[in-house]
Amino acid sequence: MRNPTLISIPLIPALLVAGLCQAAPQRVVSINLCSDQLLLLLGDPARIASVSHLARDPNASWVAEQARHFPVNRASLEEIIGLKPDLILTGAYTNALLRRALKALGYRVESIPLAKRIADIRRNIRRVAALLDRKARGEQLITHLDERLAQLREHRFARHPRALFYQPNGYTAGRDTLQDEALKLAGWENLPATLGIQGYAPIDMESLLLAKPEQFFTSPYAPGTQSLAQRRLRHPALRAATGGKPMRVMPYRYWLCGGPMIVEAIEQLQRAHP
Amino acid sequence: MSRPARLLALLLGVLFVLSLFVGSNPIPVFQALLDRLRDAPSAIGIVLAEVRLPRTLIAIVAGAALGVCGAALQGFLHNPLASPGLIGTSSGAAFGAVVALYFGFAGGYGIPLAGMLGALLATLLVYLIAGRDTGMLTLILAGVAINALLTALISLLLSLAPSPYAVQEIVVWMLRSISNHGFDDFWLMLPGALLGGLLLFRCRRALDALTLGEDTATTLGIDLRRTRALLFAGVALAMGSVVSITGAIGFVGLITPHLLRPLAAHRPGRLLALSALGGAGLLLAADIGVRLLQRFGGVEIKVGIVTALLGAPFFLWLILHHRRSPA
Amino acid sequence: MRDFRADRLDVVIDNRHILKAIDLRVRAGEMHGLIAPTGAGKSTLLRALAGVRPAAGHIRFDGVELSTLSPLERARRIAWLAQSGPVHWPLSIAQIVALSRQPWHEAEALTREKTTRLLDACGLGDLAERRYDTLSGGEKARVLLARALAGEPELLLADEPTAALDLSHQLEVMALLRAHCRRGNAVIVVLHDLRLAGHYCDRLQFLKGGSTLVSGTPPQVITAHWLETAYDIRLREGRDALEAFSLNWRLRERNYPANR
Repeated sequence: MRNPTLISIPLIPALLVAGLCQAAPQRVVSINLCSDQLLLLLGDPARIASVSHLARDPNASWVAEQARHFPVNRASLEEIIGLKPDLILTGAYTNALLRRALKALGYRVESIPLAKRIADIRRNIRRVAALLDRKARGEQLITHLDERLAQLREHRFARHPRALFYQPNGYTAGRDTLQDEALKLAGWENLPATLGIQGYAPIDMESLLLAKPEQFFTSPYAPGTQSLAQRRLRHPALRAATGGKPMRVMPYRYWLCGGPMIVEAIEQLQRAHP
Repeated sequence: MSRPARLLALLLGVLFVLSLFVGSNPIPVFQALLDRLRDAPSAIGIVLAEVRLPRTLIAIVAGAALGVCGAALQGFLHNPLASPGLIGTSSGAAFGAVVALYFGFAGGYGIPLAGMLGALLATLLVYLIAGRDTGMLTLILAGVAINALLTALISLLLSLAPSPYAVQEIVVWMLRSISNHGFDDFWLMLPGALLGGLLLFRCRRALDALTLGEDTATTLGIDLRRTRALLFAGVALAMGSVVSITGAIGFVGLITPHLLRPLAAHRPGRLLALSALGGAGLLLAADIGVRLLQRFGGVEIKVGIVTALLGAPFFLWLILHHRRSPA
Repeated sequence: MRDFRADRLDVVIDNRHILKAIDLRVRAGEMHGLIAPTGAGKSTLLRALAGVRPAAGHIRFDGVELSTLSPLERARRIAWLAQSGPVHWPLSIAQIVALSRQPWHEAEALTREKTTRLLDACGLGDLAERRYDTLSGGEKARVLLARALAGEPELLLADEPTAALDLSHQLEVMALLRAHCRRGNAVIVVLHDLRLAGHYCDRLQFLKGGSTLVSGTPPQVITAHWLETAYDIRLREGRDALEAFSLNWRLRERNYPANR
């Protein structure tokens, strides 16, 4: 390991091949739930080599059914090399060491940034579509998404009740999150955003209660499991704050990752509107 | 009630009121109280009655239980270093609660019950390994061994637990905070803590008599087996309930009896009540400190860190003190 | 009480026969001395009589089997003074002495009153509020004796109460025990000092190897023969030794210093 160039030498042909084939990758591997879903939505099934095991989890993945047709990986270096990919899709928060190692080995690694608003979803779709050489399919998805959004925007709301996305350990979605935009589009006021919370961050219980929330939404990440963090969602004060109204459950697959399924989330949020 | 007890009770009362005034936001406490009494639903009323009040009461009950258990164990083992944290009781309780909570064996009162069972087994194990009336060293070594084992097992279980949040909570079980507990948790904790405390108070006379050693205590009419059973059951009930809700809060059970022993004229029996009051005050004060730090410093730390920061230097002092005067 | 007796007591510890068929009897008002070389089982016998160590055989208090008495009843009637008993926490002298009043379940004021009176009688009145760990060895021994007496036991079992004391305090302790007997109680005391034993005890019992060697009044027991047998020694001037004891015996008859 003293001289890294020694290791790189046999990879030079691979780099060249990768460079030549940049237009249409033949073996695409995704190792992150969010890039998995874009790949499954946009990619040519014949060219999808593997997606992460999370893609098959029906709770977290919108395309869990499709994911069953492809081999899954657990994002380990050896496993990825064994898949002989010519394009690796990762998320912005995928293990940085792993990404660096893959790049050092000469693989083409593309990180798909986190979608913080619906505009980011369009951008990510276009980006992945371009990488996969499936631009037409990407535009088709975006058109469909925009049509549904336009329909949803037609609703007019007399009132904007205070709501929030509330998760175990007191985490919530403030400004610059998909949840923020989804709540607003569905006629709610996103309470953490008005308190100045930015991104996905914990909210202090007292501040939350004093802001008088009217509706909680939560997305169980692992339904049926137990932990202190999850117990915290059952704090009696939270129920008291909404006058005994229970939290509404939003399936995580609709808004954990940015994708066209955000319209499903917005639709459900609208239906919950009083 | 003796004079020191009255003073401690007064101090606790002051801390109780103070505690209702301290939170992450300033609220008009009297208005909140009025809202609550008039049954008018208001946000400040909820903050007072559903957040600050249970948090305060949990600190009081947990602190009192830690204090009284520490005092009882020190008295019974004639060992000033005995405490629920050191002799494995707390980690046993945490272990039991972790098994019950994360693996879905039990909910509701099942969690404190599992905590009690874990506390009892761990304490008995340390007691059997160390043997009774042995020196401090044997007891501490046995405690260290069992604590290390249980801590590793807790971490292992939390790594294997199905909940995705479990792994992050390894730290939480070692240095627990008492924030974000509601009355539901308080009611889960209270019966075991009360019953355990009651059993320990029934050992009062026995603990005094044990000052003269087990044999002499026997000739003073003390039934040793009954005392031992009461004591272990009491400690297990109290610690099992408290730790399964708040996690292992270190050092309160160790420091409190020490600070208050002179006020009890060194009588282990009289020390129980004082330690309950003192432990409650100490933990509540530490939690108020945590909340002030959160409000003015903007950082949220766990109360277990505060008690450990206070307790560890004290523990060191204690060891050095004992090294100088081995009597 | 009228009398206290043990019949054919046996104690076996780890396959070792510590006590073999010991008989013992004391009556109200009597002081019974146990004399033996170290390791003969005196302390074990006292523990067995106190109920601290289980033993085979019979122990009867006024004809009632000891094991049928409740722990509380037993605690009120029999006190045991351990040889250098531990005191684990630095309590005050008054508190230590008051521990023996526990079985009586009496008002705290009464306990305080009795404790004060007893401490004065034992010459410890000035020490009442002192912490135990600040006392000298001799003071500690007297405090522990006072503790044992505080329960007003009908039978006091005292294990070497005079060890670690200087001569004047030895005499003082023996006088306290004597006074306790005069109030109609009995005392069984382990002693090493034959002169004190001969002087203060009504009856003496020599133990050897876990068995009774001989039992009787001091003049019957303190003879050259029994001393030589008990301690495996040869008295070079047996007559002189005996003379020393009979001198003490005469002192005893003049009741000195029991009247002090």
